[in-house]
Amino acid sequence: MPASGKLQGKVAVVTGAGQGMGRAIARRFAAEGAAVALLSRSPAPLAEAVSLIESDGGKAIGIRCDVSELDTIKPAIDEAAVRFGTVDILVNNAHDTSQAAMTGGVEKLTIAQMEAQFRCGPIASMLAMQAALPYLKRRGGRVINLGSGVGVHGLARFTPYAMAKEANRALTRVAAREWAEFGITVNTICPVADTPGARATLESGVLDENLAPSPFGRMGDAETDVAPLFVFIASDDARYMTGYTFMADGGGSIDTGR
Amino acid sequence: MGLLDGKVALVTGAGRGIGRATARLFAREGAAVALLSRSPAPLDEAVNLIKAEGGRAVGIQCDVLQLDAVGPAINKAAEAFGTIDILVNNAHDMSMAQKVGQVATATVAQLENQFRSGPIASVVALQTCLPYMKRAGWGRVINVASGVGVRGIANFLPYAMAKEALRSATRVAARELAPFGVTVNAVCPAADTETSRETIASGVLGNAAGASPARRMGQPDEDIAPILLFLAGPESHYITGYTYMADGGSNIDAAR
Repeated sequence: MPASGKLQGKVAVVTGAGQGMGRAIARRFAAEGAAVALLSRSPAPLAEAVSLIESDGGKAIGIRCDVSELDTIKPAIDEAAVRFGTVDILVNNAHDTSQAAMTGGVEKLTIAQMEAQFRCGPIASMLAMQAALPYLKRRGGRVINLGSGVGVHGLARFTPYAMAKEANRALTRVAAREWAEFGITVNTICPVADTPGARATLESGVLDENLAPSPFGRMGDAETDVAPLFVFIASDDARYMTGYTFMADGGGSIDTGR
Repeated sequence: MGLLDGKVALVTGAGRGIGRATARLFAREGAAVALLSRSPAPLDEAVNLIKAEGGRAVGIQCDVLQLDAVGPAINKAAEAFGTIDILVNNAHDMSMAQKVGQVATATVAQLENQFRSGPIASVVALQTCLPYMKRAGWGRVINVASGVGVRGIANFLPYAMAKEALRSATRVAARELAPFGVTVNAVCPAADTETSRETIASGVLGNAAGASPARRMGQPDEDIAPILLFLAGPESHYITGYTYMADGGSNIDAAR
């Protein structure tokens, strides 16, 4: 995919960037000229993702951060700002998407599961936004939160995940209203991408009849199909859109995706 | 003949406001109603009001923030009336200190309080009621959400996040429980209650509330409770997973 320097001179922080969607976003951002701080709880995938970007000629650093450890979020964001001078773009992508954490029917789901999904998702995202705010204010900024069609549609057996992801979208809307005066846009993207996490979910069979099929008849490729939407929303071109949800799902949510 | 003859309804946060209005109307329509509330005095008053009108009601003290207390309180209601057919998850910690917060300054403790008192407590309540509803092959769950979440009103971050999580739980539960004859819907009221008056008086809403084409706030008894009644009654059996905006049209075109 040809790069056109849409993010030249920008500094981006991507959480959960070691693999899957987060890694794809970080790579596309770097290819578009951004300096990218990759946050991830897993050292090996993180190091690999950073090396990949560097070998493509991009600017990247890796910072260990498990967003479920809420106290570690601000130091990680500050470290990114120290290394690259500021933060212009924050992508709150990290979320505990292990099957045990995200799935649970309404009937059997535990309080602990719900609390854990709220912490690693919307609560961690708010803290990351708070930590990034002083930097984002400097020259206008972008926040992109990850929602999910699972929450938009309310798919069966994904109660804790669906609840947490819809709280993310509410966070987006409130923040969009409050931060517009600083030139900061806040939007949500709901991706459907062929990642190891998504494959594990599909193979578990728990989605079965739930999954809204794409008219394209295939899942999106994280880097070539889905990440470009993140580039657009993060770029200057999207400066007049805020508070919205963008479905990056190959049309799987036509007519219900908002 | 009442619309809810022979049914047992449980309403949380039923001491005043929308919860009380809903409990009263359900009782008038023939339901036996269990009222849950954390405040004993308004609860007693609401129960007495219903009884004075010839309705069947029992009051059970329950603060939904004490998650361990939710199940026992509901089972106590089921013991009193034999089962639970209709659950209205209306309780929520509406204190300004908890529900109001900006993105830049809201605290983790606020978010946790709002998630616990809203969506988490509602799921626990639903889980407790479900065996009764499954046994009957019939059930109605109504979750009280908010236009504040649907629209994402500034200054109400904790409340907005919790209410949208509740709407999401509504959709998931609707899909999962349809095979058991249980419908699950959300209602977003804009009502003239003590709480909403307090919120408006605080000025924190600004002009965000939006004017309703109806040009007035809804009255809990006449405007809001009848919408919950419809969703609780037999005529709504084919409606599930949806959000009904009980707001005089304030969210035309944005309300879903």
